[in-house]
Amino acid sequence: MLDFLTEPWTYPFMQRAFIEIAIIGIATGLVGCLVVLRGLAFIGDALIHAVFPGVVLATILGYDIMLGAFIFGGATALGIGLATRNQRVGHDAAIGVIFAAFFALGIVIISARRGFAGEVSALLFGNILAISERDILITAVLAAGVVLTTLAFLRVFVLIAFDRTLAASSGYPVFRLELLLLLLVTVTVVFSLQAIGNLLVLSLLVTPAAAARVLSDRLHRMLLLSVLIAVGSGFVGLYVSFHYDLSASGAIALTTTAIFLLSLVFAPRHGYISQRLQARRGEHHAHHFHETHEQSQVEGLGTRD
Amino acid sequence: MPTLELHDVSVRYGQLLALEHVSVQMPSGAVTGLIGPNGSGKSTLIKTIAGEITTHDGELTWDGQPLDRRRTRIAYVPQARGVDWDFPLSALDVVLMGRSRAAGWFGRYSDADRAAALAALDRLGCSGAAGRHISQFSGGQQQRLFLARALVQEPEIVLLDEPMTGLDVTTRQITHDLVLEFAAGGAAVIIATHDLEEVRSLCDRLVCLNRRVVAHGPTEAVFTPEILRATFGGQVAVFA
Repeated sequence: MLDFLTEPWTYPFMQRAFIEIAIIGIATGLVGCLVVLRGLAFIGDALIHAVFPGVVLATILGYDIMLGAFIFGGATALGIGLATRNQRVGHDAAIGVIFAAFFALGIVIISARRGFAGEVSALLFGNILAISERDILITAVLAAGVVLTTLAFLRVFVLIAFDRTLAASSGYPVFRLELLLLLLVTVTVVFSLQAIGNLLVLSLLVTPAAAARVLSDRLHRMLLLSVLIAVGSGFVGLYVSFHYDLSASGAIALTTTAIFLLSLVFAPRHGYISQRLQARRGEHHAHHFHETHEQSQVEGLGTRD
Repeated sequence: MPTLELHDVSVRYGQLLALEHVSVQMPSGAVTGLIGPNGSGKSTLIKTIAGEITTHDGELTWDGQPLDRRRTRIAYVPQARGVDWDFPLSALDVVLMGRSRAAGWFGRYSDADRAAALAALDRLGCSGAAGRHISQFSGGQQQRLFLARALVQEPEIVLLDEPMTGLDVTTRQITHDLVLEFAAGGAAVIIATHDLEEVRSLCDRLVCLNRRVVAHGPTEAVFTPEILRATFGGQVAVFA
């Protein structure tokens, strides 16, 4: 048993992988909470797809993939920000269509290149076992920037996520702050790419935060849990990958998903079992206003709709 | 006394014109009611004043100067059904949001902020529940959390979006009293509502809205069957 835990650490490439996933997990776990609370999971997905042609082009042209990813991701974040500025207009469908197309563009560019297909899987699914010390350094610097910025603006980001109108009426530049948040998500996606891959970043960005939200209704506990789940899943995934020779990023993504599903069932207050027990005991928590709202309509307002 | 003035304000959602050439005055020390049918632009007008809708034509001024929300303290009481009650926040967290701007961008809430928030909760009959999650309150109490939040803002402008919808009698009374208190304290209070009973007892002035301003002025001048019919397009069922 002890060997199971210690053996991977005797290999330098595994040591680097553990360090890398810990850094990524801290950043994705933290930023992911804001993504989930602000309801940006879909936009996060769109960003990830949009980044792909940038990654492909950078590879073809011989630049760092982070550069290509950042340019495409940044432009996309700005585009989404502007498109959703007047928030009542639903652009979901448009966003979905455009970013599926972006992704297809990346695939088409790749397919035009002979002998390039081998790298496709590395781009899509990452290669955390091939991370260098230089990669770790870059990830650490970018992640530190993202984490510090997120923590500095945390109170304001939470205010915007909960009550955008109050945030605006308090004089905060809501639109610019939302762009900043999208930018933080983009940077996080960009530095996670190499290790986790284009497609599976979402499982570290959204899933741990979603699980943490089910597990706790205190913000700070949610942030902490989300980070712990992200990092913990990363470690579990690496062990599984090492011992059973499976895809590391795939194992990580499946671990976060498993934790999410377990949370849905076993969470103390919002879990399925707990809700069933509460229902049996007749403890309806919350949402009293639904009842009273209907009441008031019966009691008669001045107008009919 | 300063006045909030809207000069020829229009708001467009894509092709849809939500507000058209709205020019009204909302003085401080008075309660102004925004009335109109669903989709008449009441919430849009509230959000434009709040600064959430930034892409509008026309101008908003406060005391003759362009409305600067960093300087003018604006409180906002949302519609209960527009709130995500599962959001991970305690009652105290919500009330403290009213102190967000005062606490600065990166600062922590001071002891004075906390004391003010607890006092406001206490005043509104939610004492001893500061640490509870917001979903654990009844509808009326939830409304009171937002009133407490408005209270700690020491607002110059108070915006309330359908504050009376679906409330118990006690909370209705509390809301009513607090609205009058805000106005007596010199705030410009603006209430969007379709509760015409409430309008007559609460509002000094009315703005009748149906995407454009149908009429506005002192309640006794505006609250007439003809104007109400013109505003609601013949949908008015009851008026005493």
